[in-house]
Amino acid sequence: MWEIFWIILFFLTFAGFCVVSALIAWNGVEDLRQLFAQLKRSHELPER
Amino acid sequence: MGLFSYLDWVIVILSLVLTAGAGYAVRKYVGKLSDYLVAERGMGMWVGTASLVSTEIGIITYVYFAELGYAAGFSAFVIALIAGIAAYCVGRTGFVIKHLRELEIMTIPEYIQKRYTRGVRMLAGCLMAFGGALNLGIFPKLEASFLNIVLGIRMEHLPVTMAVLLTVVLVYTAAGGMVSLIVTNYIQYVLLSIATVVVTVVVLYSVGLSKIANAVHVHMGSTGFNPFTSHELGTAFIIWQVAISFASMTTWQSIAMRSFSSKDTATGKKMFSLTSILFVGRGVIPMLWGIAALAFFGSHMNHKDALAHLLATILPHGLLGLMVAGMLAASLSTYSGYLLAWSSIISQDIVTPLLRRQLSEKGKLLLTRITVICLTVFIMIWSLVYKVPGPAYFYLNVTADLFMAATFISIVAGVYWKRSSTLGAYLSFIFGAIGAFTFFLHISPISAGLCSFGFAVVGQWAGSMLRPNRRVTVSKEGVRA
Repeated sequence: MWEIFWIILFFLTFAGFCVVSALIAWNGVEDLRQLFAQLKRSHELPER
Repeated sequence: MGLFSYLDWVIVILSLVLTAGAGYAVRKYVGKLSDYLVAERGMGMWVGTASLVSTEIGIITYVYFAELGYAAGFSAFVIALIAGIAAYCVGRTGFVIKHLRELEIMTIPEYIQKRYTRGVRMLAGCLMAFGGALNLGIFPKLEASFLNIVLGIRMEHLPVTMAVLLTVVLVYTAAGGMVSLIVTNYIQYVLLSIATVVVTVVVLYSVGLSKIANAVHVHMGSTGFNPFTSHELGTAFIIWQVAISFASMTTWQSIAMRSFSSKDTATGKKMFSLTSILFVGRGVIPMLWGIAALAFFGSHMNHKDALAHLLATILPHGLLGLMVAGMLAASLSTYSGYLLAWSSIISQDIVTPLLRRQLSEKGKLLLTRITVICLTVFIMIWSLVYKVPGPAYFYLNVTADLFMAATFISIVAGVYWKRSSTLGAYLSFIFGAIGAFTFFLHISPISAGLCSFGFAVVGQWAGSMLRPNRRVTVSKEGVRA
């Protein structure tokens, strides 16, 4: 029973790992763009 | 250097240039300490998750989890399952992290000063720096050994591999801080996840799932599947893992820094929920590789080297380069994440309070960078002189418990128990450290780990009952009576 449980857990985890990693790769670019826009704004403010 | 082909080297060098170059390119965005340590608190959920996970996965993570898979079989999966459940619970409930993020602090000891006193903060900072440096101190040797086996470099060149590894890490950690970490961690996460998926497919194809399961039956019998009856693990170990998983998800500086850097509390919580599946994967995937090494070579291998030998044997050229690029990427982000975490504690929580004056933003930044360099020199030396006793995973957990058990107990008490007092926090840190330190007096790691949590609870409770504080409320602005 333990054997089946661990093998199912492994495959579910592996599938989840693939899906979440793909989502991170896809959506991460937009997050980075927003972060740099914010940092750029915060660096420009004191100069005004 | 017979194993690695030119194609493999090209893949590895390109990935290094790409990540180090990206890290260096974004350093112009670092002006203030908050940019350096928490990236102006602008981290979104997806890059936040990538950053959190890639800091918590390095070559060493794969080596020690594969070592446990090799030694304990499928039973070892319980560690990953507990970590995943802890991450999910923390994410769903906001347990501890919600309160810390709302206070807009940069390091865990900062909360300790707000809730208790500057003295407790300095004690916590000293224990964190000490335990954290000891913890990080075995990384270079284990990782360089792995790389030497895979790359086909002779073991007498180990110090050279270590020095090269640490030099590359220094270039972008000292230069950019959290901003470059977020960028490099994103690139590194993508590389790492591709390498992890490819290696898993090749391992399953080359060794076969039925052969893997059969190897556990042959070498360990039912104890290789049932974690409660496992010779390596057992019920006490599982209880220790539950405590340590919740503690690390909420108060481990490199993990906590990610929630401090998130855009808002909700993003921080979502990040933890999303991370839970990756925390399970971070454990079970390399553990399966370790069991595959058992099936492939038998039980006579050095446990720590089994994974490196397996990968060097079964991966074809090109894929070997991709795997090393992914692993190296993972390691670089782990080093830089930890170096930044521990050096921020040394500079913010020990040196700055000792100076007894406010440093300028430039001064703080310079201090943090100098600390990163000093810490790198220390871990290089420690790695060369110290031999890890037993499984690396146990050593890493016990050195973490030198401070983590007490940090967790004092923060949970500080957040959820109004009576919790300064004397309680002092006793919790002292008792917790003594509990973990018994490991160095030849007490088993499981007993030492459980003692550190037990002693920390007793210290916090006894001190708070003996001398309670006046009623306090902690807010962003400070402490109110």
